[in-house]
Amino acid sequence: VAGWAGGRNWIDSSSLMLRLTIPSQILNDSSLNFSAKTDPDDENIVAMKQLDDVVEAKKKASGIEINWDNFWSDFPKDYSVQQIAAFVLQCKPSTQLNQIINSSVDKKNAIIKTVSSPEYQLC
Amino acid sequence: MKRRDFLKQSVFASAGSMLIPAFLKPFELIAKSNLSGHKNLVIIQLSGGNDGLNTIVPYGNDVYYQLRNTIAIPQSEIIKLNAMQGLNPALAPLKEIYDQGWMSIINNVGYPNPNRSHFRSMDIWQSASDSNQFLSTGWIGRYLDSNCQMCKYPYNAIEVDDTLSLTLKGDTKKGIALQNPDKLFRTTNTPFFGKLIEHDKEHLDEDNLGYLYKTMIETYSSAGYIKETTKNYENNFVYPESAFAKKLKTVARFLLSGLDTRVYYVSLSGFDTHVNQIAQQKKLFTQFSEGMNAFVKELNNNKKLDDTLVIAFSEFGRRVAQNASRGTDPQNASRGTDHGTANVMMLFGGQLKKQGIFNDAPDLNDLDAGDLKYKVDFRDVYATVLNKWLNVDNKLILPDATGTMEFI
Repeated sequence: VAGWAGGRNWIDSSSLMLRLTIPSQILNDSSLNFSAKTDPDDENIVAMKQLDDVVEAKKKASGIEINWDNFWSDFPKDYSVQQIAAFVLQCKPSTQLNQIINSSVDKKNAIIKTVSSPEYQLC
Repeated sequence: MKRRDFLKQSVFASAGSMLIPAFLKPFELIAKSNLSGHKNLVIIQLSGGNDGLNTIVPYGNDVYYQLRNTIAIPQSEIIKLNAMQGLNPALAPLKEIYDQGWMSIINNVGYPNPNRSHFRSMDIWQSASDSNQFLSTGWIGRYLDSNCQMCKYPYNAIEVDDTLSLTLKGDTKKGIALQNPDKLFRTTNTPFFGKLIEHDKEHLDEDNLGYLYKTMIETYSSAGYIKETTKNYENNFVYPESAFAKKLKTVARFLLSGLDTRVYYVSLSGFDTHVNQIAQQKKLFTQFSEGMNAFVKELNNNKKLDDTLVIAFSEFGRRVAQNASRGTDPQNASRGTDHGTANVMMLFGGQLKKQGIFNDAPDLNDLDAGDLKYKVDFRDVYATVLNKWLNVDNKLILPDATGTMEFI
């Protein structure tokens, strides 16, 4: 087994865009429309069941309860979204991201934008 | 979203190009005429280890019938190509292609010290490594890395899928994966992402965040380019309903719309036929051959077949003898085959040098512990494609392979 290649190797356009869009899809309670490839070691199962080549993971992100109150309660009451964003991100947000956060319609929206940014992918 | 907002966000609509990061500008500047007419490569991955002996059947050899008493294809059903080999009947739609001289079959393709793990052997085929060598880049990825004129942008190599295979991942460059132009455009070209990359200069450092932004900007821009360019062509050919055929239809649309893409990648999975091989292969071969038939004909009708080469491979073939029945009751026979070694590769295109069967059929009397011995190293096939079709020096990508085979 090859194992995980390190560094930037995992980043390609599709993996990055998937990661950037997952938060908004889950938090906006919409569905994920994404099909993963068959795991090589599951090929015999696919063949045995005579399934189609890919199983569409086109289902609602069910079983996920979104509890914003719980989220807000993790922060001091007087924390601004900027402060929450600064806490959530491991690096300084770009000027653009800052502007987007500042001009969001509400706090929820600001947080969704924050976790949909490339900045949020860094750890 | 209002139409006006949409246009503002769209890469191509903005007259002032305010949304286009400076380093991506050449996307638009490349005149189409410079690049149309280039040669294309389409790679088809048959995942799971397709049984080559029941694909291109050595019906002229008694050993085949002796070792496969319940899963051999009866002579009467075989679509004969020469006195030794013929097509599985489920591949009937390929006969027409074959007869036109648009198909070539390379027997006994493999590599030394074959590995029987799906994962590992696919890794070897995708990275084009030795059996005991671990590479983290794919052979098409390294082609993109070679910096040739036609491999500067992610969309120069496209996989029609939601995820990108190792094959298309290079060290500094990667291809792009998409199911269809609209879906990629919808997920990438949102007002939010558009705004995020508005002032791109800030992010173009070589650090990790810079790399993420660069990838995002490239995806954003590629999605716009692909969506815009593919408007040039609507498929005018009827394809069967399978997911695989749909992918080929997408490739045909990309090819015929004049997209500046040289390599396309498509996979079809489910070939791990330990059990009930006849039915499963029949189902997959029907999808494969009907899809290929439509694809090749659509390209030919649009005078693009001469510029297209399709290569179909699988990570390994299967053992020559069918596997043992499970239990003593012959009714419980698994009627399948287990992981093997060398395999057949199928090639399609309008410019094949040796049409039909390229080399000798597998020698079933000279086996290696029940497995076929490989005669052609798959990396020599790749290297030949790189040298003669994609016009890059294969030594940059596959230093040890010889790119001088005579199939193209």
